[in-house]
Amino acid sequence: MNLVRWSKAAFITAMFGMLAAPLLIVAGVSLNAKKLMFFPPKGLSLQWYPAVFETNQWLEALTTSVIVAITAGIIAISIALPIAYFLWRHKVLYAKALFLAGIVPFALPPVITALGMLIFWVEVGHVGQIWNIMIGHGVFLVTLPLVMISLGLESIDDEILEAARTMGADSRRIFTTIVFPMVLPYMVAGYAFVIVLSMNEYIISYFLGQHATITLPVQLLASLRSGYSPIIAAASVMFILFAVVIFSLVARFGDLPKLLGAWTPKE
Amino acid sequence: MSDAAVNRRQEDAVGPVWREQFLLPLKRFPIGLYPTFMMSVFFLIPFIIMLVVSFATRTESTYEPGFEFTHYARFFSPLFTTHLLVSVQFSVLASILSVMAAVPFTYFISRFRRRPQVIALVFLLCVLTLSEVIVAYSLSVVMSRSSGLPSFVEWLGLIDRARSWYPGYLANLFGLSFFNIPFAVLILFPSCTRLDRELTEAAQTMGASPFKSFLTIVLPLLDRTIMAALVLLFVFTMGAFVTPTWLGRPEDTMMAQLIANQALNRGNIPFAAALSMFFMAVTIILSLITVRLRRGDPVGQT
Amino acid sequence: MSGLLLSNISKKFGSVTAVTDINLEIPEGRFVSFLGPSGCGKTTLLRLIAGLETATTGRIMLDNEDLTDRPTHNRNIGMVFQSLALFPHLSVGENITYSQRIRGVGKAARRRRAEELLELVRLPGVADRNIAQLSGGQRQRVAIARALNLEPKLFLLDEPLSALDAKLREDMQVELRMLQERLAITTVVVTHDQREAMTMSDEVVVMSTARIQQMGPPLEIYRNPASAFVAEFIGTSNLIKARLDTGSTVVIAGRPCRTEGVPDQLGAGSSVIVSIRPEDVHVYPESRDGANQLDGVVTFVRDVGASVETFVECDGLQIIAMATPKERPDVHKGEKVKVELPAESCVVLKA
Repeated sequence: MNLVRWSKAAFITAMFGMLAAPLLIVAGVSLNAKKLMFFPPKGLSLQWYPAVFETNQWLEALTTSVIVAITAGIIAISIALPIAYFLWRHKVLYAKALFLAGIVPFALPPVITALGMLIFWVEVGHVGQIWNIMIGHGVFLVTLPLVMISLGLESIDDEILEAARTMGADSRRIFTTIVFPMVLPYMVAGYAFVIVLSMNEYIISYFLGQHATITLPVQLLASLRSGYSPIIAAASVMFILFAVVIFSLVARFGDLPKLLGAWTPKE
Repeated sequence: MSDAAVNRRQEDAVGPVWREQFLLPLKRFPIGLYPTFMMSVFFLIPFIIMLVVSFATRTESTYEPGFEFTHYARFFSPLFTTHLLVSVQFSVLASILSVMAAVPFTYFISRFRRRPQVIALVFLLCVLTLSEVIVAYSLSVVMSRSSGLPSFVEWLGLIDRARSWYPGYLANLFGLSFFNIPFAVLILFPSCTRLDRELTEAAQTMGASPFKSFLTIVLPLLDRTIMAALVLLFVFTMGAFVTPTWLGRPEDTMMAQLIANQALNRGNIPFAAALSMFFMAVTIILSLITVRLRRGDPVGQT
Repeated sequence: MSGLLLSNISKKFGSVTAVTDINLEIPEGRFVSFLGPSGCGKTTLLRLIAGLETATTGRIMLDNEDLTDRPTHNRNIGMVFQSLALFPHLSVGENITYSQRIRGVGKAARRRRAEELLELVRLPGVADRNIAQLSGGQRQRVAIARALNLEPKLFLLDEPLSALDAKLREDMQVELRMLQERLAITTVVVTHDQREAMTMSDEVVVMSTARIQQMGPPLEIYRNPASAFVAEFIGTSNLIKARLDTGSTVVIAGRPCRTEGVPDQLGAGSSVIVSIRPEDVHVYPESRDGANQLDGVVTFVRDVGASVETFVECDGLQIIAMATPKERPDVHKGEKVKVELPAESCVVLKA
């Protein structure tokens, strides 16, 4: 029994260690004093972190990424909420088809979506614009808020809605006073997921940006190609911290295991 | 209810499907037009255009309207078949490796108490959503001569002189598997939480060791989910772009790279479109298989 | 008439008939229970009154106003749901005053009303709590307070106490009844628990298979069940197969037994069922003799302290007699005994 426990603990530790190691090493590299890539770092310095904000190309890429992520999140939610609500209220083929259309983008390899969207914007004659990436990410990532909002709607018991009706609320008031506040945490979680994924997305940004609009991951890979610098490591660490903060917030204010599909027994 | 209402009801019941399932719901819920518009204009139409372009005629710098099968005919050229084979090979191996690691890992996480479980999930989500660029870069640092494992192994005295372990076949395979693990965990997680603890406890009262009860109770109950995870991860890996670019050798070029290369560097958009169409067909078929697998699964998602 | 009037109500879900042919009058201020096994249509009937379902036929009137086509949110009813349906995102006070918020009542007035209602259900000072912080019994009270906020003309409760444990449930039954008497509000409760129905109601409506089987004051139904179903569903009953002899005499296990009366339409020789409550059956040692008695053998004695049940087999029929510990018959398992079925307690029913 002890052997079993011990090997189980060792396995779990090894898995977490393996998944965490590269991130820790990158964090170490980012602390190098000189413009060299060593681990353990040779000499400690935090100079590469402000450098991300002081170098023009990095700052621009960061700004672009943030704007894209925020807008893409709004677009994704604006598409996902009506679809989820439609399917929840009216279980008709139309709503099911829309739901399926919202699931497909995430299931396809992103390179296909990227190419399709690129050809579309070329045909429209609107290439390399930041809007292309915003809409691209919004549509590509719609799946996450869609699934989460649906989960939130499913968790509203019919009797809750009926209770509101007996207390005098018509369907509009039921939506504003009951349904919307109750799915709000799921919407926020969905929004958070879109923001993080949009910030990290490479291939659609790369295809649609066409060297005119450059997001942070695109900038990262471009700089990697032109040679190592601890700035890259520093930017990566900031990415990691950003994701940690966002998901910790989601976990703090929402039910993360449930959002990820864990089955919770009824009381 | 008035007679008119009854009549209307009966009319609807016998009315055509499109009227009842599409027109009337839209009348009751006109906001439905907005997501319809967004998804058709920015998702469906691009794919239709891409389908048309995949038959177009290639010109010096771009393409012109046409209807030819030349791009699809190139599927029989070695350029395509080698890369397809390489992609399939990597994807099969990477999905099997990651699922093998993820199944026990997820099972243990699903048995965590709530707080450690949430922390583990936050950590996995961070790794999962982390840009492929950063993951590939981090792994390249780990495998580099100056900062990573090679110098550590040299210091241990196992090898004489350290050299970089990437780019290489194993580096690429490891990178793809690594990238898959958090995704695999999240696919398996719902089913694992649905496994009744008492099942393994019952097995243990009947004399099975914890390891035996995992093999004889947990794994068989998860078989469909595991199959679905394998297929999903296969599709996911087939679409990898940055990892093979950064960790793989030129001969390890995979499908997504081929498409990007044809479209952006060679300017052969029709061929890239044809490749995408093929790729999409394969993905859809495989996705349908996973849907089939999950249907009627005792511990699957509902 | 002031009160609730249901005439000729029926409801079909596709080809399934949920309720049919319902005619019912509930005078103002009465407490009525719909009682029946699951699937008998009692909940559907309550939901029809609330407007949560639309009747296939029939009309619903409240104080001479036609409610049939009025949507739920305009009916001004108070309803307590089986799941309680408290809004998880609102505090206790916000839950209770939701119906006022919908009608645009100001914050301060709502606050006062919430305190008042919490006082009424004897749960003061919790207005700012979260629903999740309350115990089952407290939630129950909040749900009741919420339904009573606008002093509705009709108070509907769908299995309101089913989530509580047995002890708390019994207490709440008494409390709910006392609250209702104080407010004199017309009340309809759906329940499958006959004890609950008998504790609380002025009148019980027994339902099965989409129809009303019998209605009346609880004790009247208990004493004079109209059918074997009602006899068995309301309390426990010995249902004994018998054959009708002449007059009001029946033959049970070969022995003639007098009864108080038989249904008119039955003639001599037809088979009937005699219903008698266990507490009306007497068991004596074999030595005693008298009228309306059967011979039997004791097969089991269930002594639970507060009451003693004696199981007796009489020529293939099982009869249960119940007595208080003081009246405990001096018989034991395996002994031959006499079982007396007093004529005034035997109800003869159609087989």
